[in-house]
Amino acid sequence: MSSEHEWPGEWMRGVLELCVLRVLADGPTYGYEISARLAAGGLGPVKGGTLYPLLKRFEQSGRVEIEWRPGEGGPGRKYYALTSQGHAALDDLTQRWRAFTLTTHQILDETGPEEDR
Amino acid sequence: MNGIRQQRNKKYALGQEFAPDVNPAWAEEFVLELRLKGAAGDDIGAALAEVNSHCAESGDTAEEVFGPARAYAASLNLPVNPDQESRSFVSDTLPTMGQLLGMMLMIWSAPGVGAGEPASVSAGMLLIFLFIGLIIVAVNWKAAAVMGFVARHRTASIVIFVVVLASLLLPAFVLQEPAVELLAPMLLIIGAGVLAAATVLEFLRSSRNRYTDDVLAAPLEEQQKISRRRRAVRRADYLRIFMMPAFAVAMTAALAITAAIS
Repeated sequence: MSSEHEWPGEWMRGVLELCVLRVLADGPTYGYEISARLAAGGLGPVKGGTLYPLLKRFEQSGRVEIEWRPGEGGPGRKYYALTSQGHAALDDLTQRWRAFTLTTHQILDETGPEEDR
Repeated sequence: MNGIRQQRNKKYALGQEFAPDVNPAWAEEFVLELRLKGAAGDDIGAALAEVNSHCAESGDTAEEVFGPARAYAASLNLPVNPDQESRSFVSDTLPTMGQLLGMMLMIWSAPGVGAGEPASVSAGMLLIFLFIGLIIVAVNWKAAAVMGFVARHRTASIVIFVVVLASLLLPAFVLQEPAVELLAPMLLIIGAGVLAAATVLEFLRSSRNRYTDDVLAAPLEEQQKISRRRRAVRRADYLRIFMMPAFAVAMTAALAITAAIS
């Protein structure tokens, strides 16, 4: 899916938590890298004003651990690493999201009453 | 032009030191908002450093990526520093009120001490004391709101300050009839005693509190640098405490000498 799509804000809010957890499951990374990967994955640009408060909530709820590392020739970076609690949340949300999208697909694929006749 | 630029640079020195890749005005607003919300200095420093890191990597401005500084600061929901929560309105206000009362008593006694006459306190002077006391109480009571207003509306704050000052001085000129007459040396001793006690109390309170040490600190910053910043803030706080007694002594001496000569 190309990142040229402008997804409705409500959809983005619903799916962002899960997608960020999934990016973090690949290993510790930092905010800018997360937003770049989400954009490359097709979600489009994610505003820092949305992404970082979400990461802060992850930090406060124990889903991630943080570590500051010196940047490569630039300012330091704050790395986020998924904790076991974060992995459990990712598994749970992934299952529920799949069930949800399956339900949505079924509703969308149902034959309407007029076509039944 | 250079002068303005230098002034601006000085005004935003904090933002430039902690976040060189962020618009200094945005950084300043962000830090101010988090400070007013009672966030800890190291939490604020870390949040600002993360904004700086993103802007440096992406090449975008903080406004583009994070939106308005105040809204972004509010969205982070940073915890309130427990040292700030432990502050009490009474213990913050009483010593300052004591210092003010002691200073006023000393100044009122000075002409009488110099001339060897009773000290007369006019109704206007009593009103001034009452007004200043009310201002101190109001500022301490709504400290965050007052600081926020002053920082964001500097011109309006100066205008309000001048108007309040003028309204304070007016009764002193209009109501000059003596309201109370007291023994000048006794008034001086009481004033000096109250001022000294309140100053010692404020010094002890300031030395013991930990929120003065809660300076802005960036992650990965050298501990020595943070300690230096803490010492500078402590020094400024001690200067604030001892400024009132120094002013009271100088003013009392000047008024007493003037009265003695004339």
